[in-house]
Formats: sequence, structure tokens, C-alpha cells
Amino acid sequence: MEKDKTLWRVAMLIPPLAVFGILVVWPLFSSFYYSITNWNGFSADYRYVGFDNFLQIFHDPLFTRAAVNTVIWMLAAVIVPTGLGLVLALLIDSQVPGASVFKSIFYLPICLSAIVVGQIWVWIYQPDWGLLNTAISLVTGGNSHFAWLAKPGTALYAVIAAWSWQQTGLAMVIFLAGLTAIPADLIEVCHIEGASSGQRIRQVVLPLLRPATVVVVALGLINSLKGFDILYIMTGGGPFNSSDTLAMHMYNESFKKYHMGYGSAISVVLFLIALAIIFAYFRQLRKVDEIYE
Amino acid sequence: MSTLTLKNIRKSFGDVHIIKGIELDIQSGEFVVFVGPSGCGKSTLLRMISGLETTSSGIISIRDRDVTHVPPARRGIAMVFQSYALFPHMSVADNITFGLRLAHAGKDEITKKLAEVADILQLTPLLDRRPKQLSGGQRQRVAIGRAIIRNPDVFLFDEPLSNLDAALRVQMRLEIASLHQRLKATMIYVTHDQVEAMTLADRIVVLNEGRIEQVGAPIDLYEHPANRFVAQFIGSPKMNFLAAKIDVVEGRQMAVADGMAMQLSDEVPAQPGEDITVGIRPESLAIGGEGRQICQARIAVVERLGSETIAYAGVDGQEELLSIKLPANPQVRPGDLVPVTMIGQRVHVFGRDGISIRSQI
Ligand SMILES: Nc1ncnc2c1ncn2[C@@H]1O[C@H](COP(=O)(O)OP(=O)(O)OP(=O)(O)O)[C@@H](O)[C@H]1O
Ligand SMILES: [Mg+2]
Repeated sequence: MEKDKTLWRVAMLIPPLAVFGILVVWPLFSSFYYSITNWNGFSADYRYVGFDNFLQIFHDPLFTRAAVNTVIWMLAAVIVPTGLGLVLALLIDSQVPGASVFKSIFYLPICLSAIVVGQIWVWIYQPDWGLLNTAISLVTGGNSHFAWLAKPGTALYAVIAAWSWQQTGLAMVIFLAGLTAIPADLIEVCHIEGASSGQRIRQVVLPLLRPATVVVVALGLINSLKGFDILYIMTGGGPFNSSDTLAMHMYNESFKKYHMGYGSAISVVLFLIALAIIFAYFRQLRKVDEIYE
Repeated sequence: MSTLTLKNIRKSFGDVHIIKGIELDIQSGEFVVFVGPSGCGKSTLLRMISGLETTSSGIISIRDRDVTHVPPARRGIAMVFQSYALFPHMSVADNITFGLRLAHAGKDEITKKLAEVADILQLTPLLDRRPKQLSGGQRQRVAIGRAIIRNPDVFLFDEPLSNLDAALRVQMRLEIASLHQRLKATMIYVTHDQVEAMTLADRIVVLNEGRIEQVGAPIDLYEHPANRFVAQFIGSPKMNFLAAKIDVVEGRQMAVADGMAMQLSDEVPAQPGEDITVGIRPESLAIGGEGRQICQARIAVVERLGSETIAYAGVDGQEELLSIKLPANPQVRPGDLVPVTMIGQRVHVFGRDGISIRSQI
């Protein structure tokens, strides 16, 4: 009987493990492998090049630019939705009129795929009839035709705005859940002790929201690392690589320029960064646990 | 001088009336306990006094100042919650001085007051700890410390000891009593534990369904309950109630029922044949002995508590078992048919409406 169960369990585990193995583990190790070759992506004729690909990274101006953009992208993609989400959650929690309607509206974008969000914002930024330029024209009375996504100075930030628009809802609901978890009597103590709303938020609410914040920031980081699709749809890394991130750069090197070996080396670097972030995240989680339990 | 006055206080949540007109005057330095069954509105009333709950109508004054619509922080109250309500991310010291720090009090003042309060509550060695690192009793002392440091006109306690185990509860009860003597502060204390009520209170307010049933010193409520509700609520085990009728035998007023006759030592204003309820405390009853016999009863259950024993006995014609408080280790067993006698003459007579006709001693 017990043995039957074990067999059954193993049988049930094989399909998901197989999928995970083929789609995650295998590519992971192959990219480790290809990162030390000069494979072009299809030819059977390639050889071992040692750490050349990694050394090349240091001489690749596009890599540096993509790395800088990735830092900007990640910082903004974490800070903006986290900040906006927190403000919205606090407003909704303070029972402003229509709070529950706003809650649904702000949450809605998270249900859309990044491709759809990207396309919506491509239209919003459209130079001739896009919502943004139309609105600017109306307000200033001028005739705005700014190509937000086609100018190196604004492309990355335009995508960050679109990304934040989508991610804010997620941060907001997590903060709302965190706010609900704060015991009502702690807030009542604030009323009795005469805390202003600013003091209440700074000295009590925010510290008690720390567990929620850790989750929001971690999700933000992880999502922003994955945030390739929206860039791909909106700018494809352009113009002139101005909105390239490491993921975008890796994609371009591997699949557009057929430098699969070099692309793999970039992906290994990305992997290590992700790993470091995840470790930092778990350490932070443990610290939070130490305070609240 | 009265510290707190409630004038016809009412509260409803939507259509539901929870507090239905409370009149109360609390003197300076008094320890007043609100008791009543669960859901009767004790916490709601306390929270209305604190200002955490709005008041639907009526006037609340503290030190002759109308505070009905004043926010909690400016009423001159401090509140201690059942859950302690300590901030988990702050040290004991920071929890206690929270209000002072909010008000930007001077560093020296904070240090001095903190030292005083910590000394009173024996918290000095614990000031750097987080609430999580404290026992339940210590946590509640911190919560009390946070109240004391405010130096309020009125302390409000909502079941502060309910989360503690029995032994600690007794210890904390004593600490609160001595704190009251030391601070001579006005305190309002909500509990459903009638031992806490009896031991701590200068006056007890018995609440039922949003109304005051009776207000009085603990011993007054025990000896002269105004009605059946108060009579059964104060005292443990609760008072026995026997259905009976008034009769006059040889010119003397008696309470009679099947197989039972009790002489009433004083006349009560009731006509022969009138239905009444006789209330007798378990401690006024005995088995056999020298008292006057009132009936025969069959023992159903015997609870031996060590220092005393409670016997529950069935009487023909009465619905409820009679509880009888006996000395430590009496020779009674379930199934015994025993004579129940009265020691003393403490009989309470209640009319059909449950109001005390007159309590007798
Ligand atoms: N915010 C509220 N909205 C609606 N009804 C409420 C609210 N707060 C309390 N009540 C109701 O008011 C009644 C009294 O509640 P309250 O908490 O004052 O009782 P209590 O006497 O303190 O009981 P316990 O001994 O269980 O603490 C209850 O029936 C409760 O359901
Ligand atoms: Mg209560």
C-alpha cells in the first residue's frame, strides 16, 4: 500500500519535473556551456573559447549601456510602482469616497498581458493622434507631435511609465492586504496618544508594512528582471540601443546577430545578478520574521 | 468632585440600538467596574467614553468639560486594551513614551517620566526589549505604563487580564488594585469576571442589553440585588431561584411550593396567592444541621473544590438544580436524599417581573 502510493507520487511528479527540466534546467546548463563557445546558434561547427565571451563583455559599449539602462530600469520599475502603490493603498484604506471602485480600476491593468499593455501605450505615445500628444496639445494649445518612443532621450522612460502603470495595481493590492493585517487597536492607540496622520503613517503604519514592502519590492525586482516583453513590443531596445537592457541586449546578440556564445555569456551574468537579488531577498525576509511573530 | 458624567448616553449602529440611555456619575479617584454578559455593550460604552466610538446622543463630560465630540487624545483619558496593543517594532521604552515623543516632549522630561513609570511597574530591566520578548503579564504592564505616563483624568481598561492565565490574573489584579491606591486615579474597568469586579471595584455597574441594571458597592449588589438579573450575575455559584407562592399560615407570611415552605422573617408587600421567586444564595444553604429545614432534595452532582464543595440537588416541582455550598469534605454522595436547611435568613423575594420586592436580612 505504502509502496503503491510512492509509485503513484513519483508518477505524478514526472510530468511537471520533465517540463521544468526541459524548459528551465536544460537551457540553463546549455547556456553555461555555450557561454564558453563561439556557437552562432545553428552551425554544428563551433569550438571552445574559454572566457573570451566574458572578457568581451568588458569591451562591449552596448553592454555597458544596457547595464546602465538595466539599473535605471530596475530602480524605476521597483521604486515607481511601489511608491504609487503605497500611496494608492493608503488613500483607499482611508476610505476616500469610491475607494472600492478605484481599487478595481487600479488593479485591472495587472490582468492584461505585457504585450497588450505595450500596445496600448504605443498608441498612447503615437506622435500624431496618440492620447498623450493630443492631451498636451489641448492643454498647451499648441500642436504636439513628439515621438516619445523614437527619441533616445525619452524611449526608456516612456516604457518605464507604461510598466509602472501596469505594476502599480499589484503593489497596491499587496499593500492593502498588509494594511488590513495591522491590528485595529494599534491604530486606535495612535488616536488616543494624539498622533497626527503623518506621525501615524511614518511611525506606525510604514514600519508595520515592512513585510508587505519586502514582498512588493521583491516581486518588483523579479518582474523587472523578467520585463523583456514590454520593451520588446514598445521599442525593441531602440532607438539606437537607447532603451536596451541586458535581457534585450542578450536577445539581440543571440537571435539577431547570431552570437549565441556571447549571448549566452550575457545570460549567465544576468543569471548571477538574479541569484544575488534572490539571496538578498531571503535574508531580508528572515530579518522581518525575527521582528514579527 | 465628579470626574466623569454620562448623561443619557445612547449609541446605535444603523438600526441596532446598543447603548440605550446610560446615566452615570463617577467620582474622582473612584474605581468603577462595568460588568455584564457578553455583547451587553460594555466595550462599546467604554469606547464611547474614550472617544474611539462616536456617541449617537447624550453628553459625556470629563471634569465638567463636555467632551462628547472631542477627539480621544484631548479627552484626558488613557486606555489599556485586552490585546495589550503594543507596537511590535518598538522597544518597551519607546512604547511607553510613544505619546510624549509624538508631542515632542523634551528629552529630560521623557527620561524622567519613563524612569518613574518603569519603577512603579518594575519594568526598568526590560526597557530595551521588544514586546515579543516579554511574557503576557509584562506586556500588560507595559500597556499600563503607556497609560500612566499620560497622567490621564480617567483610566479605561477593557478586560485587561483576559489574555492571562489564572495565576497571573490574580497577581495582576493585585497589582492593579495597589496601583489604584498609589495613583488615586479614576479608573473604569470592564470585565466579565465577577471576582475581578467584586475585588477591585468601589462601585460596580451591572449592564444588560445596553442598560444599567444596578449601580452600587460590591457588597450592596451582593446583599441587595435590585432584580433577578443582578442577583444571578453577582456571586458564585449563582443564586438559586425557586418558584413559589405567597401564603399566610397562622398569621405569618410564608413562601410555599411543592414540598417546601419558607417563613419570611419580614413581611413583604405581596398578597397571598401571588407568584413570586425566592432567591437563596448557595452559601445560605446547608444540608441537615441546625438551620430551619426548607425542603428535601436529591443530590445529583457533587463538585469537590478542596476548600469547599458544591452540591447540586434536585427538588420536586423546581426546574433547576439547587446549588448548595458546603464545607471542605462533607459526607454526601449523588443519589442521597437530604434535608436542605437555611443558615441565616438571607432570602430574596422577586416579583413576577423579576424586580426585588424586598430583600431581607
Ligand atoms: N462596529 C459595530 N457595528 C455593529 N455592531 C457592533 C459594533 N461594535 C459592537 N457591536 C455590537 O454591539 C454589541 C455590544 O458589543 P460590545 O463589544 O460592546 O459587547 P461587550 O459587552 O464588550 O461584550 P464582550 O464581553 O463579549 O466583550 C454586540 O452585539 C456587538 O455585536
Ligand atoms: Mg468587550
